[in-house]
Amino acid sequence: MSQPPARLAVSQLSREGLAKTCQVSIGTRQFRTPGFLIRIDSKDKLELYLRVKRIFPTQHLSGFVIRLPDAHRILGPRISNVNQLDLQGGFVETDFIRSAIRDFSIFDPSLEHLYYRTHLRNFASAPDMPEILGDFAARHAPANDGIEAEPVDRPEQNQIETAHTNFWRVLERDERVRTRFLRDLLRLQVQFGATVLVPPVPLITNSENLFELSKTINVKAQEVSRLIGECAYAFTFRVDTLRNQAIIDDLKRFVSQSPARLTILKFKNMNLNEEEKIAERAAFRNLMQELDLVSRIKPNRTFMLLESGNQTLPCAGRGFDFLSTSFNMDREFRRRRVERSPWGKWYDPKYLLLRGRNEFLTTFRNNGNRIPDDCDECRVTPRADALDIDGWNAYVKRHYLQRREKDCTEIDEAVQNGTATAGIINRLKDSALKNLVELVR
Amino acid sequence: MSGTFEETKEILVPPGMLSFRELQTFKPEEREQYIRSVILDSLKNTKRGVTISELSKATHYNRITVARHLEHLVSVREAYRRQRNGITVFFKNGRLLNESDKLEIQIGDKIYSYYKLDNDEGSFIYIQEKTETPMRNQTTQGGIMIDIRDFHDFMKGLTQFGVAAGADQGGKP
Repeated sequence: MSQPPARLAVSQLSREGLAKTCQVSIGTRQFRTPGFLIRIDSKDKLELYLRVKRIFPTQHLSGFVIRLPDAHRILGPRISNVNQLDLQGGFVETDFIRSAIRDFSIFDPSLEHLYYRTHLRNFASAPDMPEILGDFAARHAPANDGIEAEPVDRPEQNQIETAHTNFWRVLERDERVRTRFLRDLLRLQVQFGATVLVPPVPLITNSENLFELSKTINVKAQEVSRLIGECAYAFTFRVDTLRNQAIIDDLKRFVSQSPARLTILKFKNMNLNEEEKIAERAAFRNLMQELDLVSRIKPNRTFMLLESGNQTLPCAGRGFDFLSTSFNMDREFRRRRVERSPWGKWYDPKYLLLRGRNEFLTTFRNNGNRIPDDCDECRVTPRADALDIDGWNAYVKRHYLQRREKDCTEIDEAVQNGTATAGIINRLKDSALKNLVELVR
Repeated sequence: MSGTFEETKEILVPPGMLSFRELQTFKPEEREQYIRSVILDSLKNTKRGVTISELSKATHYNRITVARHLEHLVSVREAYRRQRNGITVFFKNGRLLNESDKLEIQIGDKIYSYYKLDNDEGSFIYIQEKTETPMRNQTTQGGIMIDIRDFHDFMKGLTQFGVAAGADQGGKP
């Protein structure tokens, strides 16, 4: 008789208003919330992440998120070296193996790219992708695939939307194709060592049909993954869906009744700091309150926000237990034909935004040639202005990880002291993200 | 579909349970494991016990398939059966009262799990032998249940036989 693998267990530690901290465990892994997972899209970034985890003790930097089509490119060689033996015949323990044992690793199927027509070549070229997905990607990948895809005109956009809808319609109608699709993608995540499996759900483009299909996929994925691992519920929305009251209400209802211990939400390209996003901000705030209510009624529920971008700080511990962004705060530069500087951007912890190197240097000089931050990485890098391009790019990424760890630690301590809400409001008020105060207040 | 177990004529089957048509996309071995797992969950969630026909009706799985899996569950002591008015009723075997009632040790590639179980028939020491599959889940190869009152005699017999078989000297008589 097969027994299910280790399941996620949550115990709440402290609570202050809507903010809370929890201890989340799965098997031998332990995570303290609010937790931060960095989205990694290259081998170098994974190397940087592993270095930070090795050198600095981190409690809230829980793990990483890798898009499933990128996983083989990033992890392939490392996984094949896992069984390397030393001269005594013991396994060689590397940073990666330590990470695989302790960290929270999520492999996001990221099927919203089927709609946005970005990174499709990665789907087509990744080994072991389901045939139906590889075929779609190969057929619809634009000539200039990548993050700076050509802008498309209206008829072409309609054509893309129709192809996207048709792709999901096949999965909606044919239960055998759907089950095979789910099984292949969930097994692929297991092979890469996912801590919790993520169902491959469609991007909900303000369409109730796609939302219904997402619900079905989530329920079926629980069953398909029954013998292979803990599976979350996942929903990916286009940000304008926040204005669709019917879908958001249905989402709240569904999440409150779901048996999944982890629910993962993703709102593509969400920046609620924009002035005109008043309705979206209100809807998102209500959603956070609802998630908080669910976690009060069922204390073993956790929520994760992928691609949280600017919303990371106001959402950490408030409604969401785990947050994830990329090093560039989820900016995709899609359809924007601007020349980008090869120098990475520095995360300004006061203004909560990314600054170009020149801006950083001005601040650095005005601050008496001192870095205006006290994270561990900044303390060991006193002359960031003297770094060459490679050194600088590595430094800003390590600083970003350290800073997120520090932010989460501060929130954790503030929740215990009963000052989290006031603290987050103050930080947002002093930052460039003033509009996000509405999410917390 | 609700988040809790759906009640189908009092037999509680998992929501979103895969139909036989959906299961045809699985490898035969995975299909068997899945069905067994669903049957075990249904037993666990139906405290009054189930019959083969009830479970077959609720799950839409073939009666012979359900009977075969129930027999297997009984043979590895995951379930037990009782006769009631000539009808065989199956129950999930006991439940852990608390985590300290469980011990797991690994010897070579085998995992042995020890449980203290309580069910309607009394208290038992339940020993399972498991192996780990490549997909990280554990498969129970077999099991034995010893009534807690008989445990001392059982251990005496086992030690006596083990010594005679040379188990204390690495298998050399």
